[in-house]
Amino acid sequence: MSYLFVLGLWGAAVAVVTVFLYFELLPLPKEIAPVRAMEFSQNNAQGAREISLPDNWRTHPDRPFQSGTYQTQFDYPAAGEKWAIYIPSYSGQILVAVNGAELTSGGFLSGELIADQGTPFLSPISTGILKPQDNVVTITLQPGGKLTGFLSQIYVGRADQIRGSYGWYYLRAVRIPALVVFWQLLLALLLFLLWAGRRREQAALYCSIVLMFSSIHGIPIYLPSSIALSNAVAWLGYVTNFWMSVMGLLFTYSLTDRVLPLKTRYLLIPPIFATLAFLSLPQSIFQYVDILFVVPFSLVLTGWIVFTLVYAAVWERRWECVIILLSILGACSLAIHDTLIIMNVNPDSNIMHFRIVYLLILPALSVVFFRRLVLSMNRVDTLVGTLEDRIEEKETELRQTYEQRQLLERRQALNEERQRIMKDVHDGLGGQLISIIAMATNEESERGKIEGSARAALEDLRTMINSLGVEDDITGVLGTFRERTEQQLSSQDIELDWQMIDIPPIEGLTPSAALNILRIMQEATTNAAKHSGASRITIRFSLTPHPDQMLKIEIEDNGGGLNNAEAGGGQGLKNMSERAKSIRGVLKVSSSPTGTCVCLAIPTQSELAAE
Amino acid sequence: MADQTVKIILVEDDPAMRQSLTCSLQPEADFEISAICATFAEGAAAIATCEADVLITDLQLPDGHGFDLIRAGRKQLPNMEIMVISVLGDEQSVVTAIATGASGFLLKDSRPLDIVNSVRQLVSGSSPISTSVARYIIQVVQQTEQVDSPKGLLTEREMDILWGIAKGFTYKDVAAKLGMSSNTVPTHIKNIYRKLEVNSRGEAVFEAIQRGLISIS
Repeated sequence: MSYLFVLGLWGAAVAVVTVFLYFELLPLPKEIAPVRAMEFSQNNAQGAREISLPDNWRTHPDRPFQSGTYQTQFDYPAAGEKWAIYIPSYSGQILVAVNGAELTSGGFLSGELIADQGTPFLSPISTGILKPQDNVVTITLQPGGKLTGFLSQIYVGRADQIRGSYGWYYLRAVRIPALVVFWQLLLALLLFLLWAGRRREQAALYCSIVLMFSSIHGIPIYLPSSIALSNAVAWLGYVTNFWMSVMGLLFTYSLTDRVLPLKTRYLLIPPIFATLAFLSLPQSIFQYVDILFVVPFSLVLTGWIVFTLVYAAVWERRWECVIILLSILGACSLAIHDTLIIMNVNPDSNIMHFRIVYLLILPALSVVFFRRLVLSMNRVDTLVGTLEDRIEEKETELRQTYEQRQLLERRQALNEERQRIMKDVHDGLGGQLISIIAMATNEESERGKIEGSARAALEDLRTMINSLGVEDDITGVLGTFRERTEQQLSSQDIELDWQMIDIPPIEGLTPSAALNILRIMQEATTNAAKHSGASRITIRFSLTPHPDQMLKIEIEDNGGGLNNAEAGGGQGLKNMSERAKSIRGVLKVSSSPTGTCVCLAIPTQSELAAE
Repeated sequence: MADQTVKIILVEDDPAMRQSLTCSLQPEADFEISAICATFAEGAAAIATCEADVLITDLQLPDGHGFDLIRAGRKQLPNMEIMVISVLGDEQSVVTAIATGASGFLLKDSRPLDIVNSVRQLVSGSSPISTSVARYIIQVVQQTEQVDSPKGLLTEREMDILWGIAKGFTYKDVAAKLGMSSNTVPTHIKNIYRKLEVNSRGEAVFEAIQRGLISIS
């Protein structure tokens, strides 16, 4: 809604300015009657004749192109009053004299170009030269420029009654054009800088070029009067207009995010060609080029621009295009006004607005681009804000996911541990406890057997607890194993020869794998102690060379060999082999009448299987 | 010890265990069981009344904790050797007992001969140590040194001994590696125990053990 409000306000402002300028509603002095007719003579040759004002030279094609003199008489009834002579608008260069005394030259504004626009003239009349009656005003007009020569109705009267109107005419003819040119140059510079810093903003570049070309018309305002330069600029106008229409099209397309149906460089060929023609051909021939080629082409391009803007404004509802379109509509009305004057359809006026039209367009362009700048800055702010929010959100999410994952992993680990302990208990402690119960309920059982089983059960529990302390390093677990085995064996009068070495860390050694190793060692030791009749058991550790380093554990006894083994021995060996396999180990058993050797080899580098 | 008799106070609440221990120690001619206690109160009273050489105590007592009894014994009879009775010989309770003043531990399922040997060893000035206890002490000492004081609680040699035992080597291996007599290893261990004791070196070690207990449990 606020957009609509702004657009409505802008539309109204454009309409007011356009109507004001189109109908030339500039105030004229009310208290003073204008001079409506003057004596006109040219070259002193022809006799003076009365003509009515305003006088437009183009309405009289028969007049020779040379200076003419207007003359009239007035009375000065109120002696002592400050009087002035005021011409709201004239074209050409004028000299004004009262009673033969020349007043300030009206040609001081910049040459013919300014003259084109219809310049106001005001000069106080020195009271010394005024007579009560029959004062003679002489205005000599040197024709030139597009409008040749023009003189509006003139006012002679009290200076204070004239000044108000003069202020308005001066504002329109001099001040505003100067302001507009300055504004054009400034905005062109700013937009160019904008584009230089932000190459994506092509619309800014094209707009900047359009503004630079359009300001060329106005540059002479700031320069010292020079007809030669003014002429050159005037002629250059043809070419710059052409360039402007091409750039205007590029600008419109960029502004509305469109893609040209042809490559940009092809579009630049006609104006380049026209410029070359302008520079190389004599003016008389270029005129034809201008009429036959430049003007139609410019008109087509202008039509294209307006169509694009209308389409974008109405169907795509781009407020930027609406605001520019409103300005352009106003500008077009004023262009029609100017064209009517140039074609002399409206001979009573020489007030042209072609420079002032930018007063309608410049605010629109300024608003569009600064609005874009503000929007993109806001977007960056919002983006930063959103990004911060998003990062925070993501962090929270991640944290939650991480926590959840940790929880899951912990649960899984717990579960796995539970499974493992169940299995281990089932394999050892559980079975032993059950057999203890069975033996205890059976009255024939020997107490010694019950004690043995209970000790074995406790031993197994210790082994399990011991295995839990493992973390890649098996040495501590082995040390604990030695302590207990040593005690056990010493009670059976068997010596334990423990040949330890520095064992490197074993990658991925899990409690489960450690338990398997311990159980193999225990089984081998128990077998040796129980069945072989040995007096010494040697447990020897060694490492095979790299690569595929293995830890070798040899459990050797000096007993009578496996032949002495009881029936259960076979099952025990089978169990040991299976355990060895589950940890990717290799188990070898060799037996001779002088002893048995169980050799377990496990890899130290590759991961040991968990189960 | 002038009369060569070793006076023992036994504190154990489980009757069967108490019986078994008594049976193991009684037959020895040079052992004299001064008091057989079933509770903390009885134990404390025994410490106060008889000048025992050895206190053997369980940790879980119905009316108090063995640690407190150890502390009291240590205070009243500084020359008394203290042993704790442990089911599994787990390093946490053993090292805590050491920090409160104990010098040795007995496993509940030890055979009579082993119990007698342990007591004799302790009386003769050497303390037992297991692989897991050595490991735990290393951990505690390192943690203590990392946290704050007391820098260099144990000497390098003492740490080497602990490392050797923790790595599964026998006393003999450790002694050979370090170029010492294997008989001196238990003496070193006794020194280590004394250094870890709260009374002698402040609370840091004990705190570290507590921290260790918390982080492990």
